[in-house]
Amino acid sequence: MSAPSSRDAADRLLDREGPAHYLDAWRRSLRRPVYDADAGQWRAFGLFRIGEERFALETGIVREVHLPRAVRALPGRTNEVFRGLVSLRGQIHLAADLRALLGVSATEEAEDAKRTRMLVIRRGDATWAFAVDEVLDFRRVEVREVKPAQVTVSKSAVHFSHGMLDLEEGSTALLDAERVFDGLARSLA
Amino acid sequence: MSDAGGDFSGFSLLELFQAEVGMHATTLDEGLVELEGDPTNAERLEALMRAAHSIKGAARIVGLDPAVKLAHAMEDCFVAAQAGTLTLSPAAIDALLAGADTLRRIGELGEADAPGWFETHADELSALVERIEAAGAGDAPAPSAPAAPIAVDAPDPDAEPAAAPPATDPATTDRPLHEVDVRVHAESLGRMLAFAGESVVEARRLASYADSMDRLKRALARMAKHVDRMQAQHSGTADEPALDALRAQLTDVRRLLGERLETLELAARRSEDLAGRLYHEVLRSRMRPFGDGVGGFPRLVRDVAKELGKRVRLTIVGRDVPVDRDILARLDAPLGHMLRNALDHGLETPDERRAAGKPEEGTLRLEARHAAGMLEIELSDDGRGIEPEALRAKIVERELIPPEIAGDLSVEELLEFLFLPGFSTSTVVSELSGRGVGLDVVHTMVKEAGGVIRTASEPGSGTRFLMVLPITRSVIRAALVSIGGQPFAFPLSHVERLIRVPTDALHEVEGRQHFAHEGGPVGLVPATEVLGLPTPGVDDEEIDVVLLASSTDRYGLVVDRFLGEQDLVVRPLDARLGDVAMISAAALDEEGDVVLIMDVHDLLRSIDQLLHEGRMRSVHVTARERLAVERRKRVLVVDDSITVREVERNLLTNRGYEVDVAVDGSEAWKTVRANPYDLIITDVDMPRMDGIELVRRIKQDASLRHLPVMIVSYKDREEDRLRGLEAGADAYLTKSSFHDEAWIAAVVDLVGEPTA
Repeated sequence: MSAPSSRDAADRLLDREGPAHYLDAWRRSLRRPVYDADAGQWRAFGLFRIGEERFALETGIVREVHLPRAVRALPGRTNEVFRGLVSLRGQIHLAADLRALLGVSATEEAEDAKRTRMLVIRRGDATWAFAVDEVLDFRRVEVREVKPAQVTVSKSAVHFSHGMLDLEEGSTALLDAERVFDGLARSLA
Repeated sequence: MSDAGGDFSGFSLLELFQAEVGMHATTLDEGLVELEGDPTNAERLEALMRAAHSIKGAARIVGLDPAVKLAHAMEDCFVAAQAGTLTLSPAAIDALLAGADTLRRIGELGEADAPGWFETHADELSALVERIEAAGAGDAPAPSAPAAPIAVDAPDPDAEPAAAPPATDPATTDRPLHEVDVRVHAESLGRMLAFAGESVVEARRLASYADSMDRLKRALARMAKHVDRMQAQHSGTADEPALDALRAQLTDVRRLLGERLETLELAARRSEDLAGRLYHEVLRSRMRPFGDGVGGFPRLVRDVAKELGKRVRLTIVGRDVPVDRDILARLDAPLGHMLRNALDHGLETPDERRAAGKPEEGTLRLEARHAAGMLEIELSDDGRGIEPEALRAKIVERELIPPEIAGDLSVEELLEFLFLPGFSTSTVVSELSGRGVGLDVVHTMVKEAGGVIRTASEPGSGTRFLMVLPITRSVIRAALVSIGGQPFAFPLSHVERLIRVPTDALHEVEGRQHFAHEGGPVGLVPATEVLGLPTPGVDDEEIDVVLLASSTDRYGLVVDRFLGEQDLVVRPLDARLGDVAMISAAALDEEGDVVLIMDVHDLLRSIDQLLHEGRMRSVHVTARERLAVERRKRVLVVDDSITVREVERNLLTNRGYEVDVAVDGSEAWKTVRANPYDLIITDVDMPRMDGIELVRRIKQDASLRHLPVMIVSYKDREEDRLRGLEAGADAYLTKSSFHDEAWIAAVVDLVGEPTA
């Protein structure tokens, strides 16, 4: 009979039953909000850039990020905002031009297409896909960082925002999902 | 630890019981009806016994004691019949069917209602259990059973009273796991199909990557030749050893690349094969055997026949024929209507049949089969058939069309009237076949599913309905073409021909280009113009033309170029888009990008309109002024019945109006926004968008509000009239007014003479 190897011992150590209340302790710990009340409330945002303007949408709204695919125009229906249909990971989405919806002015320099992405946003049952010039980050922001909207973003973007985030990299318009979805829905009429 | 067992938290026990009952109730119904004709069918008895046993088990788990007792009594009956100690009489089968119904009702009870229901129905339940127990013991039927004409089989004097099931339970053998059906959410199936489709695209990408590696291999081969030449040139010089080493290294690299490439190609082939199989399997999982959708019909036919005092045998052929689950679900209501109709109107009573020299028992035959790439469903009876002259008389009597027109209708055209809303050949309006409504439901459903229905009838010997439907609504064979730089798909079933026409074969007639094809000239229409896309300059020696044909015209649609043929998985357009002109659906092409599928009927109509306007544009100004003076009033007739449309069109054209037609409200709504009209005449009951909705939309549209609308309907009740007028209609007439001058007079009243 061979002597028990250290490998066997390690396996036993790793596979051993957890101590009593171990799982319960973890459950309690995970159920607790990561950021407690003292530190203020936090919300998570997806940050992206269109032209020279920066925007944020709550992460609950931003569902997917994809490499760009061909958008097919729907004859007679396509307009400045509603651009047609696009297939992303086998699902067909309505495609919009958020630059047109938000009234972001055209950039002077040509965009680096390598950074272009398509975002899929979802609210209730409605999804939309649109291209952004760059996805910047997904991060948590303290609620007290949210300031009232200013006119540093384009005028129509203000209409679709319900606040500004003052981030180190620059101020970012916090988009109001309800108004964005309403605006997109209107483009179908 | 309430969340530890979370897997089952979504299901209440009662729901599990409901699922169990749902699964077995159809087996009970079907089996019992079959047993009626063949009381000793061992296979059926076995299935019935198992079904009752399974329900009993489930009821016990949930604690539904009355259901346990009921299922137990039923199981006993089947066990006794299996043992041969009892032959199930028709009365016994009635009792057992009542038991199956009650179990189903219990299965439908909500969690909250169940206790109360059992309390109020306790007496009924125990009476039913007694009745079934009596049947199981071979006793005479309980008094509540319908009087059956056939004598109850005498009980075997040696038979033991039905005992409790044997201790070793034979019914514990469940179906083997591989035969078990699972329920998958339709949305999940849709996503699986999307992912499977995408994985086919990805697998192909791997293959094309392998191809590009092949180019690298060839480049290395060329390099090796260079080195060979250099070796020959520098043979015997100081460079020779270095070149030899280079040559050896190059050989190694080439061998290595060759091996890796082989592996890659193999992997690409295998993943393409696998992805393809996966894709087709997911597609196939959308198909269900025809038998799954018709399980309730034997019971329905039996009950209806019994109620009508008729004798009938229903034969179902082709239970294994795969049918798209969407189509199968849509078939249920129309087939039910058709069976009721056949029983009520088609089949004679036993006395009548005997007098006609036919067997007393009538035959209904429901058959599904695949033929020529289509699903055919045929329902035939050997009943009295439809007498064409009686039908003609009925049509005239109902004042659907004037007698002089009715006299000219062929038998096929007459049979079309059977599908009009509210039309029934039965002289007595019967409860059973739903007051004559029904066949129009069939017509609407078949049309919606992209099929046709044909009727054939031989007076005295029966009627035959044949529905021809696409086998699946999810896959079509299509021609892919590029229009304005974007791919579009034409369903091959709607394309006459794809033709490459040399530009020198084109000639111009009245400002439009034509080419000769199979005897006649075909007018050319640029697809970009119809679709409103940018027109690219064409300087090819040949142009690619999609030949489309309507019932009256042929058009050549000029496209950028043909891309090929492909099977496409049809995806409905996003509901948020509403009606989209000229596009019926979307799909993904081989690259996984969206391709739009053309609605050829709508496209043809748009071409008609475009040519009409185009001609107007090309006419000289003075001529146009003259035309404007002579312009005749234009009327749009909207009706889903071709007969009514043609009658109206004839009456109006004879009077001097210019007439366009639309087959339903949805088409009319598209047409009316694109063209100027002086009057809209619409039916009420139509598929997709009914007449009321059409009127409402017209009257709510700022630019159309003043356009007069007349409703012409079979419905002549006051509330129907009010409903039409409330929606905004300017006049409401019934179709019976066709045969006098009142109808035309009403039109003239509304819009004036044709050339005012």
